[in-house]
Amino acid sequence: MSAFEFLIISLGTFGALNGILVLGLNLQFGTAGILNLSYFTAVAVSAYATGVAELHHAPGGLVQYIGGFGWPFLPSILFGMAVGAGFTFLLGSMAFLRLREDYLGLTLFAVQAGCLLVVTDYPPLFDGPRGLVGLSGPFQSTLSASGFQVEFLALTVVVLVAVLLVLQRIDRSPLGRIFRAVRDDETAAAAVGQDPWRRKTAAFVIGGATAGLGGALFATYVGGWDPGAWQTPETLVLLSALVVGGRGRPLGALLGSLFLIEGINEAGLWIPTIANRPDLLPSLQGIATAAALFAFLWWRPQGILPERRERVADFERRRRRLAPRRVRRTAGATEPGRLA
Amino acid sequence: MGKTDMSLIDRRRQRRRGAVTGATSSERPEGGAMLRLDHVAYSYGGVQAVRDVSLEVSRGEFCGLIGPNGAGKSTLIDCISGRATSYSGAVHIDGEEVTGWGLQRTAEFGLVRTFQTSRVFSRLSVVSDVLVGARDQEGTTVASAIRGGWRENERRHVADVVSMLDRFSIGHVANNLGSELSGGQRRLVELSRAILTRPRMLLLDEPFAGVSPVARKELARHLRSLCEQDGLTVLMVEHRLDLVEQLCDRIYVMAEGTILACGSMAELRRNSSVTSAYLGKSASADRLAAE
Repeated sequence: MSAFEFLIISLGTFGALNGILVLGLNLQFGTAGILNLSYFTAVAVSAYATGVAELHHAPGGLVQYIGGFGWPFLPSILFGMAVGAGFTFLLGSMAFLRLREDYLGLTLFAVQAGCLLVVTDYPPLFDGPRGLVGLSGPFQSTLSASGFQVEFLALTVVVLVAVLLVLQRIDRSPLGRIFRAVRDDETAAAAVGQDPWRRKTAAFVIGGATAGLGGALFATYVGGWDPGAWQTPETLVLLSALVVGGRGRPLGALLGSLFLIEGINEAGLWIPTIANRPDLLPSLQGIATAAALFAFLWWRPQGILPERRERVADFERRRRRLAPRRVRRTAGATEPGRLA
Repeated sequence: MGKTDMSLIDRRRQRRRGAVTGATSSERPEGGAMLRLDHVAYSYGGVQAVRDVSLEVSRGEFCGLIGPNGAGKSTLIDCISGRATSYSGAVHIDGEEVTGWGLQRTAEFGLVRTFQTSRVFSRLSVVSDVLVGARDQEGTTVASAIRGGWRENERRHVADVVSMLDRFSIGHVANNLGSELSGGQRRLVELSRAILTRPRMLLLDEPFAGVSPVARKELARHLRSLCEQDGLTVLMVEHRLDLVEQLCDRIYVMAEGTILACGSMAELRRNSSVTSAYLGKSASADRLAAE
């Protein structure tokens, strides 16, 4: 595999992984209005959970971590995802009872900072700053390096498409409408019988499960996870991608991720060192990300793809799409040639 | 709709509302108190907003609640609806004690309210906004949303929504966002949403404020027919005494946190304490009589 091919495949894989993450955050923030500044904590919890499920027992000495079940790839991923969803549920069920808006965002931000400190400073948990290493993907030991890259790209793209379809279905359903109603006005939603706590928790947990899936796959692809992978700015970059792409719309979130994260952040990693200054490029990336965010907030605050507005004609179109299927079912054998 | 078409949560919700037992509003026994308040009192920030209020609204009755500004009418509505929960006294709805219930639980039980300052969902279109209130919607749980099969049910609700918006002369803004509406339109959207929930009882806080004469007439007619034909119970706070007289079977007058009097408009006009408290000047009693 040439360097260019490796670049494209790598960008594609990271693009799909970041796409999964941004879709989960879109449901939480874009659709349900939950400013989750600790989104990457759920990603990290799942990544660590996947790691301790897949790795064998800690060899001892300087390397220490809990768990070490030695499970295969799929059960480890599902375990990581379940732990991430469970963590999110616990967090949300406590936070939403009393906290709103700014206070909720600040509290969740503090949760991430606290978790980061605990994990970094308590090595028996996940080996402290060194983190977990040695994770492997499906059939990685039997495939060549380039073969594994292609396989993992295909896997993440399939998962991304599946996640997009599921979250789009939720977004366009009456449940998605209720999420947006609770986002816009909790009191008005409660006044017609919708439970804001229950609805927000549901959106939070689904987003957390999506974050967990992305985190589990991320850790497997890069072969490990450490505190450096989930610093506070990571969530801010995802939020920026949402704003640029169009919050409240899954496809918009994906576009924002492609433009901001893949286009500026990830692709920039492959640019050679400028003027012998390895620190220059990351700084320029940060500036470019901020500039793009400001530009969109100034000129196009609704993002590349604004949130979809439901119109009466949309329901009519859905009715007409339904009708031919019903005709086909009732027509049956008497009109075999009839098209849907 | 068959039982199997509804999720567990929806069936539990319906059971709570008595619908599964067949006790729809038209089948419940006539008369009897739909709403009963026993010595309800509420204070906040050192202000005794509601003092020892006891009242009853019969099933199927259209009751008015009038009084000067600052009388505590909206606060009393907040207590009844569950928006304020730290009140003393007791609130009963259709024989069930709902004291201390929150806004969502009370609404789910069938008592739905509107607000003095209309609340619409600013980033939803009007048709979506009103749809949020629709009862017996499918696709409102995670499993049913992913599984699908709720389009036909949604289509029926949309037809109801469009019909209601046209009735109130706001069909032309069905595709507008809540943030794009005028004050009167917002009020009608909020009312449509509340009516679409098919409640047992409606608490309306100044429903006609800012509404055009044409829409006002249709709204009054529709509310009255819901009462007479479907047995809906209404308690309405309103300043427009002509509408109160036209619509209400009985009127409570509230001032300084207490109920002053109860009766028809004619009886209230003859009550000197009512005219004095409402308008503050004996000469203004003529204005009240003229209205």
